Amino acid sequence: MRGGWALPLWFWLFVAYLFLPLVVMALMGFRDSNFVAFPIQTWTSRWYTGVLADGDMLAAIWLSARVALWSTLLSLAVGLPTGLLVARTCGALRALLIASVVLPAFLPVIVSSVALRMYLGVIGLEPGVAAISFGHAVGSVPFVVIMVLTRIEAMGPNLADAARNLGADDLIVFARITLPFLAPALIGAFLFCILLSFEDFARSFFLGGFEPTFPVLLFARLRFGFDPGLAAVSTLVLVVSVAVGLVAERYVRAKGLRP
Amino acid sequence: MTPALEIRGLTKRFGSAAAVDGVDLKVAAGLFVTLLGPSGCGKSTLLRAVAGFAPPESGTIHVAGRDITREVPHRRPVTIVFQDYALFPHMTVAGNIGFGCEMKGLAPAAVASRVEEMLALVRLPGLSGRYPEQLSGGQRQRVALARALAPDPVLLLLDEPLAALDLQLRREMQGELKAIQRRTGKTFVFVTHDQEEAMAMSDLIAVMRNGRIEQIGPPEAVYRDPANSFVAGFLGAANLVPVEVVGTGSGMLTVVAEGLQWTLPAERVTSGEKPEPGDAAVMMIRPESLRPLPDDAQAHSLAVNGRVIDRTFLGGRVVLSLELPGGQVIRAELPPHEAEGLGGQVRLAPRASEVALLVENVGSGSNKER
Repeated sequence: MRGGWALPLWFWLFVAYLFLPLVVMALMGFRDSNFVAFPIQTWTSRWYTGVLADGDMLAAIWLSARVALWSTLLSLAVGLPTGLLVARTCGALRALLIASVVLPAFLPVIVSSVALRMYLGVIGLEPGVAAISFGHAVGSVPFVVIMVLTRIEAMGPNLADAARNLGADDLIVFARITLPFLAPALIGAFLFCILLSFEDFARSFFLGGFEPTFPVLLFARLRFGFDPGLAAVSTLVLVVSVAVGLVAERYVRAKGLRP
Repeated sequence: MTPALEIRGLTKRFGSAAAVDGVDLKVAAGLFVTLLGPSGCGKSTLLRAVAGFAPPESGTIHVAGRDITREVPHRRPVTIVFQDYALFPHMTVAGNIGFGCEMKGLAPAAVASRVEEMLALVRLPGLSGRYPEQLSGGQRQRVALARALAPDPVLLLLDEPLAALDLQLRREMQGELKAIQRRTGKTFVFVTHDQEEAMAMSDLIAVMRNGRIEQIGPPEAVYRDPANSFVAGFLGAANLVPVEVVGTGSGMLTVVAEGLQWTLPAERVTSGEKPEPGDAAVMMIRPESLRPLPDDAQAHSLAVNGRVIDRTFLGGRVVLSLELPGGQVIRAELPPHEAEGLGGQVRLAPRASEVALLVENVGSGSNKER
């Protein structure tokens, strides 16, 4: 390809800006000192191994994992039928449905969190795992609906009709045709919801009880200053998140349907 | 014998427009019937009504004597080959073909043997493990056909299944579809807008327009004796010359138009109405029926005198555009050796059996859309 050097240079500078902080964080986790600073004179792996011995941290990660799982299952349970419903409407009703489903995704998270906290108080749900899970589902459902809708639109009406024509009733059409066709979107949506929930701070902070989720615990510890341990645990979470994200991205863009 | 398909007074509306408008159709078992018409004529809607995907407002549909007008789609003894094939992308070829048998509750072993049988029928042995996306267009077409035939339906409906194929493959599949229909003895109801395809494959052609069947019959009969100028123009090429009936009697008819006069046998009135002198009519002359008259020929009752205004060589035939004395332009198709040296003023004539007089409201049906 022809072209000057200015655009590539600009691109790589920006890439460096994006990733350098992460590299610094990952390296800092190896610093043999109680303070975060450069240069790194002596190296250690104690911060990384230390994460495994940090009971509070492990409890927070475990709580976040549970919340992520419940909120994701809830999001799928709500988002899948909603997507199917929207798919079979058209015109103004469809626009209205899509707008009302997608709106929560555009609300400032902090506003949504405050509103949810008040609302849960009104209906008498205690702060805790259930409350956070409901809160996270509010944020995730729009993504599930859009992913399901996009996929189902690609299916066209003839596949279901063909199955019906060959003797399948509505239940079989759903189980044997629609669901397998949606599988890539559902797997992708599942992984994205897990990530969205796991990284959420605001809703967890407002809706949580005494037990902190991982981001909330991280925030709490930050107030006492940085230490290389925070860098280490953040790096570990980063690696897992990136891996999950890449897998999710692959499913979402998957064209082929073969198992 | 009970007809495989009997439709009575079927009407299907979308909003206020009738897509199918009071259609009657009876198809004997074992026939290859084609619904032919321009897009929007209601042929696909009629097919979908038979399959149960377009519930009609009125009328009845019987398949093999059973009233299925109100039956749900998955309990009808008919299957469809869709235009886009609609193969299940997440199932193998075997999974696709076996789906219908599975739904009928056949044991896995019986399903598998039926799948093999169908693969042999459509000549795709050894492809049972492939996925649709790994197949060529022609192979997908065959799988769709095998899938629809596998559950042994009373009626097989085909909704323009060849439209997506290129010309050569299309010709090949036409022959093959017809052969498979003969071999299985199934009743096929085929939808197309391609008149050549319809003529090449069908036992019966039903020409449709505006939700109605304009004419039904064997291809040759419909081609030779069209019921109106729409059918004449849609099935093959036709010169349609507006004329006025001036004389009837002794089994002959005389018609005139500006600058010409023709006399033809009365049985060449194919539109069913008996013409009276003074009636407006349309004279149909097939382009390929025109031949040069010898210079010393006597007066010919169907002679066409005209001036050649265009000449196109198409290899096996030559197409001439002729301007008649009254200004009408008609088309003549001749074998190259007969067109040799033809130019300027020419004198041609069709065979009497290859013209038709259509008595109708001139103008309403003389469009030549195809």
